[in-house]
Amino acid sequence: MKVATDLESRDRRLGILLLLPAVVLFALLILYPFGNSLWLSFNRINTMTLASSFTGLSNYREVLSSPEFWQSLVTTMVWTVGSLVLQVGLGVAVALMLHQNLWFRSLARGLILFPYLLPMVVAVLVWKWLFNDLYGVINHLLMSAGIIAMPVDWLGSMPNAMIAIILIGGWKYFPFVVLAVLARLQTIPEQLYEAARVDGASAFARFFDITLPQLRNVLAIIVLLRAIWDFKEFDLIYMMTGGGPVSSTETLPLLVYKQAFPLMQMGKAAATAMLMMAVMSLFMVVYFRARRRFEDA
Amino acid sequence: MAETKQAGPGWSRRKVLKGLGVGGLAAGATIGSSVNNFAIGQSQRTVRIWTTQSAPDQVKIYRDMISEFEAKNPRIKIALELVSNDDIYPKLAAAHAAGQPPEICSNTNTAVPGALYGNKLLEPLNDVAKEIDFTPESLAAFNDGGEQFAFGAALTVITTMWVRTDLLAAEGLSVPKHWDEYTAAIKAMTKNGVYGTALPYGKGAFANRIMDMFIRQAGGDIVAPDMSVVFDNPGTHRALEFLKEIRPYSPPGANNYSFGETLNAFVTGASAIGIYSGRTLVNIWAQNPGLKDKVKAAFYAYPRDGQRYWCSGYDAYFINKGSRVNVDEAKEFTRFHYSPGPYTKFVHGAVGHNLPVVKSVAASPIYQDHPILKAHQADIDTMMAIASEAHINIKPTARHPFIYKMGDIYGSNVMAEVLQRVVVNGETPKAAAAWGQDRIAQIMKG
Repeated sequence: MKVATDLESRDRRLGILLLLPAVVLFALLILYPFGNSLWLSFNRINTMTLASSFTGLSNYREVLSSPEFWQSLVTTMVWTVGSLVLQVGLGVAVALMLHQNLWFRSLARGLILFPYLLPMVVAVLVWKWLFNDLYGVINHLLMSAGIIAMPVDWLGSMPNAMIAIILIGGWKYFPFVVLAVLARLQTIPEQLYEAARVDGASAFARFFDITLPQLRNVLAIIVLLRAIWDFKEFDLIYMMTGGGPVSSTETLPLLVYKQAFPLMQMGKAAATAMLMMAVMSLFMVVYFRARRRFEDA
Repeated sequence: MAETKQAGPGWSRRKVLKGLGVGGLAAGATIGSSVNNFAIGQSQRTVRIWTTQSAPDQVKIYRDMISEFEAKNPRIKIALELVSNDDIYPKLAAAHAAGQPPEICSNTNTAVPGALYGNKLLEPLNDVAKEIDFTPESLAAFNDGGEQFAFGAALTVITTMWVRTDLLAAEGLSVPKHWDEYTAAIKAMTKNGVYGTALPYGKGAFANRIMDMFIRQAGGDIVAPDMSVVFDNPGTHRALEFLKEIRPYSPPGANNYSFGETLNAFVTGASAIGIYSGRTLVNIWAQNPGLKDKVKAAFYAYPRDGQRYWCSGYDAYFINKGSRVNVDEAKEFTRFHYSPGPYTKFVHGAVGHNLPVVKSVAASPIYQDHPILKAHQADIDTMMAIASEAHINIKPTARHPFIYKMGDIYGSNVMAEVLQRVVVNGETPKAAAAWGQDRIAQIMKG
C-alpha cells in the first residue's frame, strides 16, 4: 500500500516536473506581457522618458469616452469584415478553379501564392504606384477607357481609401484561403459527387450540398484566424494611408500606435490595446458559441 | 598493491590523465584565443547613425565617408540606418523607451532635438562646437542658455517657392509675391495636365511645416511667447480658408502628399509651382534636365497685409543620451564628419539642399566648384536670403523662447490633421482650429 502511495507521489512529482517548462514558457511569453500591459494601462506614462504615475482606471475612462476610440472600432470592423469577405470569396472561388483539371495547374497553384509571399513593404510600394494620382496605371487605364475624365484620388479621399485597402488586403491574403480550402477539397471523396451526379444533382446543388458542408470546418478555422489577423492588421494600413484621410482608415492598432509613439501616451495606448483584446475575445466567444450551436443542430 | 583500474577497454589511468592533459592544453589554447578575440571585439565600439537622407547618391557618399573613418579608427564601427523623415520622431521615442537610441541622428527636423533636449535626452556638444568653425547662426539655433544640444547638419530652406518661369511667361505673369497673385497664377496655369501648384495636404511632417508657415504669414501663432496655446486664432482660420481655396489647383492625390510626392510633382513637370528645398535642383538635373533653365527659386507668397514669414531651418545633427550610447566614439565621428574634406562631400551629395554650416567649407573653392552651384547661383542666393529671414519651428520668432514641446506637436501631426479636417472632411476652419487648440493644449500639458 505504502509502495503504491510512494509511486503515485513520485509520478505526480515527475508530472509536475515535465509540465514545468511549458508553464514557465507560458508565464514568460503570455502572462508577463499581459500583466505588464495591464499594469501600464493603469498608469500615465510618457513614452520617451518613461516617467509614470499611477492613475487607476482613468486611462480606460478617457479612452471609452473619446469618440476617436469608437470611430476606430467601427473602422476596424469595416476593414475586417470587408477584407475577410473578399479573401474568403476570392479564395474559395480560386481554390475551386484550381481543383479542376487545368493546363499548368501545378504552376498556377504555385503562382497563386505570390501575393502572400511578397513582403508587405514591396506589395505596398507596388500598389501605391498603381494608385498614384499622376502616373498610376489604374488612373491611366480608366482615363484611356473613358470611364473617368480626371485622375481619381484613390488614397486621399473616402470611401476610396477604405475600398483601396480592402482590395489590397483581399489580394494579399486570399492565397492563404486558397491553400487551406484546396487541401480540404482534395480529401472530399469523389464517390459523393458521382452519387450526386447519378441522382441528377446540378453543379450548384453539388456545390451547396456536398462541397460547402465538407468545407465548413476548414472555413470556420480560416474565418477565425483571418478575422484575428485582420483585426490587428497594422503594416498594410499604416503604409498605404497612415490612417488617413483625417482618421478615416485609422483602425485600432493604428490608434494604439499613435497614442504610444507620436502622442507619447503609453498608458492610454495600453488601455486601448487591452480594450481591443477584450473586443477580440468577445468575438471569439460569440463565434465559438455560434459554431457549437451550428454543430449541435 | 592496489590493482590499477581501467577507465575503458585498453585505457590505463596514465593514458587517460595524459589525454586529459593534452586536451586541457588544447582547450586552454582555444579559450585563450577566444578570449583574445573577445577582447578585440570588446574594444571595438559601434556607433549607430540614423539619417533621413536616403537618396542613393547621398547614401553612397555617407558609406564612403564611413569607410574612410573606419580605416582611420579601427576600434570604431559605424552602422548607418536610413529612417523616414515622417517616422523618425516616433521611432526615436520607441528607441529611447527601449534604452537603445542610436548614437547619432542626422538631418532631422529641428523640432526633434528640441523635444529630446526638453526631456534631457541629448548629450551636450559644447566641446565639439569649439573645434569646428560653425556659422554662428547655426550654433545659436541649437544653443539654450549656453548648452549646445545639437548642430545644424546643414541649412535647408524647405519652404522655398519654386516656379516654372516658362509657364508664368506663357500666361504673361510674373513670380507671385502675395497670396492673391499666387491664387491667380495657379488658377491660370492649371491646364493641359499641369496643376498650378502642388502642396502637401497629407497627414505628415510636411503638412505640419506648411501649416506653421501659412498660419504665421496670416498673422497667427501656435504657442504664444508666454507659452499659452493660441492655435485657434483668426490667422489660423485665414490660413485654412486659403489652403482650402487653392486645393483644387494641386494634383488630385495631394491629400496623401508628403515630401517625396510634393517634390516629384514639380520635378516631373506636373505642377507649375512647387515648395521644397534646393533638392529640387538636384532632382531636376538628374531626372528632368529639360527643366534646368525653366525654374527659379523665390520667397513663398504671403498675404499682402500679412507677415513676411518662412520656415527654414537647420536640419539637425545630435547625439543621444543613454547608458548604452558610445558618446566618445560618436563625438569622434562628429569631428570627422564636419572636417572640410568629408563635410564638403556630404553637402555635395545633395548640393543646394544641404547648404553648408561650416564657414570654411562654404567659402572654399572646392565646395563652390560644382556645376549645379555654378548654374544656379541666383537660386542659391535667394535661398540664403530666405534663410536669413526665416525661423525654426522650436523658436518661431525672436519673441518666443525655445518651445521644446513643438516636437510633440509636430510628431502628433495635429496641424496636418486640422488641415485635412477642413480640406477633406469639409469642417469649418473655426471648428477644426478649435479641435486643434484642444489637442495642442493637451500636448503642452502632458
